[in-house]
Amino acid sequence: MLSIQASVMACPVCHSELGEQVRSTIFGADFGIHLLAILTPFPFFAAIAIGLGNIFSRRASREPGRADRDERAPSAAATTQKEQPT
Amino acid sequence: MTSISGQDRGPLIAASILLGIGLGGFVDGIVFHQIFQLHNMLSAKYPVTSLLNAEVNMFWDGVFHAMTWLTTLLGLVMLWRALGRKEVPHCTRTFAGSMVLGWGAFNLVEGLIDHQLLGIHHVVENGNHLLWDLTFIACSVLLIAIGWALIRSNERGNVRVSPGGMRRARSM
Repeated sequence: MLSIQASVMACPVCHSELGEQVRSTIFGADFGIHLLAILTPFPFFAAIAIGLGNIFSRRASREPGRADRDERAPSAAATTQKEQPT
Repeated sequence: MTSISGQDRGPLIAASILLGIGLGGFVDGIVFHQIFQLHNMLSAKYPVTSLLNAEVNMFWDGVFHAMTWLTTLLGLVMLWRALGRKEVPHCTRTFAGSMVLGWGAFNLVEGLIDHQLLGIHHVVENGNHLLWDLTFIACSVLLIAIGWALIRSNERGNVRVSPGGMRRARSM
């Protein structure tokens, strides 16, 4: 029973001795360093996603005839295929 | 029919990778932090041996989960925008492959930065944590390879162009 009560009173916003210790440990001198450590991987995640997306977009834009295919309706594409010599 | 290589899969890949990173972060948090409780965000500095340290770690786990939630949300928004674009194909393999690649990317970056470089926590805090950390990185490389293979395999497939402009991959 005592342990349950203690855990309830240990939260960072609890008005208790342990709650105060939790607050002071979290928001102490190392708060900025800890926050930086937690956030550090996320710019790398964004760079990987955007970088790989851009690589595939650039690769697609370099392929010949892409613009033609994008604008061509399926029926128009079929007509063009018939016109081309096999 | 037109070749899928003629379409722009970039926006789909970027969005799906972010989704994979976000969901991979949740897998890490749920499986390692909560279910098995093998580590927490700062468990190398604050070992979970007291209620105070457990509370401090729980706070920083929350900050980490908030960031993975934002990453997942950003991925969803990007996916929604990508699927609305006419030139972006709807390829299941590319989508799944990018998600798996994103998951691997999360594990790789987390494994290198948090476990090795900063040392704020390890996969398993007790015992030989280096072995577990290296296994974690090896798994991340495997996930990236599987994701990359799935993305590349879709390049050889075909995409069907419907009259409404919706494109679906034939090789799903």
